[in-house]
Amino acid sequence: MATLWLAAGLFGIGAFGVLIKRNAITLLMCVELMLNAANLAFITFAARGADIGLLDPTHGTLIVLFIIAAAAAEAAVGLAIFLKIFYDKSNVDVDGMEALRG
Amino acid sequence: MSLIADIIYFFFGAIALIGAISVVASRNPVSSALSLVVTMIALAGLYLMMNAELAAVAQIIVYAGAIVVLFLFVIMILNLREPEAPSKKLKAVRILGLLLAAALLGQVIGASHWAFNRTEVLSEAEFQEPIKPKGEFVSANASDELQQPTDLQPAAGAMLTQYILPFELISILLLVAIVGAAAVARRKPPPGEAPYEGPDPEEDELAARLEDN
Repeated sequence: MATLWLAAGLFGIGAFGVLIKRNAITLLMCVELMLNAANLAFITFAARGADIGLLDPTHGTLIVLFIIAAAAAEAAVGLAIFLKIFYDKSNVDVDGMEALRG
Repeated sequence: MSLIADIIYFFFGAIALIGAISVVASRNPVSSALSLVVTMIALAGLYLMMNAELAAVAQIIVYAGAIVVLFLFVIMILNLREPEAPSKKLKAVRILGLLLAAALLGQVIGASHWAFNRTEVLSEAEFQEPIKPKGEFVSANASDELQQPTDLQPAAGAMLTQYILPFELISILLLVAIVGAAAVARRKPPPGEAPYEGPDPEEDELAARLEDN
C-alpha cells in the first residue's frame, strides 16, 4: 500500500511540474514522471492481486511494458516537435507558443 | 526479513521521491534529466521488490537507457545551457497549479485506496486466465536458486498468445512514431537555397590542385 502513496505522490509532483514548467523539455520529463507513477500503481496492484490470489501478476507486467513503449513513442515525437519549434523560434518556452491562440 | 524488506522499500521510495522533486525543482534541464534517471532506477528497485523482474529490467533499459538519453541528446542539440529564466507567470497561477496538482493527488489516492481494498473475485469475463506455456525452459541441472520463478516466462507466453493484438499494435505505434519523429525533425533548407546534394566536384578539384602545390 505504501507504494501506492508513492505513486500518488509521484503523479502529483509530475502534474505540478507540467502545470508550472516553462521549458518544454522539462515539461515532457514531468509527463514521464506521471507515466511512471501509473506504472508503479499497476505493479503494486498486480503484486497485491497475486498476494490475495485474484490476479495473475503477468497482466500488470505486460501493461507496464506497453506503457513504457507508448512513453518511448511519445517522447520521440514530442522531442521532434520541440526540435522543430526550436528551429523556428530559437527557444522552447511553452509560454511563448501561442500561434494557435484564438 | 520483513523489517529488511520495509527498509529497502522505504529506501527506494525516498530516493524516487527525492529524484522526482529534483526533476521539478531544478532549473537546469540536464540536472532534471539526470534526476529522472535516479527516479527510474529507484522505481526499478521497487519493481524488483514486488517480483516484477521483467518490468524492472525494461524500466532500466528503456527509460534510463533510451528515453533519458534521447532527452539529453535533444538538450545538447538545442544547447539549452542557460538555466530557465524565472517565470513571468503570476504567483496566483503557480498557486492554482499547486492546488490543481493537489486535487489530482487526492483523487489518485482516493481511487487507489478504493481499488486496493477491493477483494471480491472478478467475474469470468473480467479475468481471463493467460495461456500458460507448456514445457520446462530451465535446465534440470540448474541449481535451485536459478529455478526461482521469475515473471519473465509467463509474461513472454502471455505476450505472444493472449496479448498478441496489443503487442502488434504497439509495434506499429513505435514504427509510426519513429517515422513521424524523423519526418518532423528533418531540417528543411531555407527557401531559395538548393538542398545539399553531396560534395561539389569543382571544389574537390580545387582542393586537389591546392594540395599538389
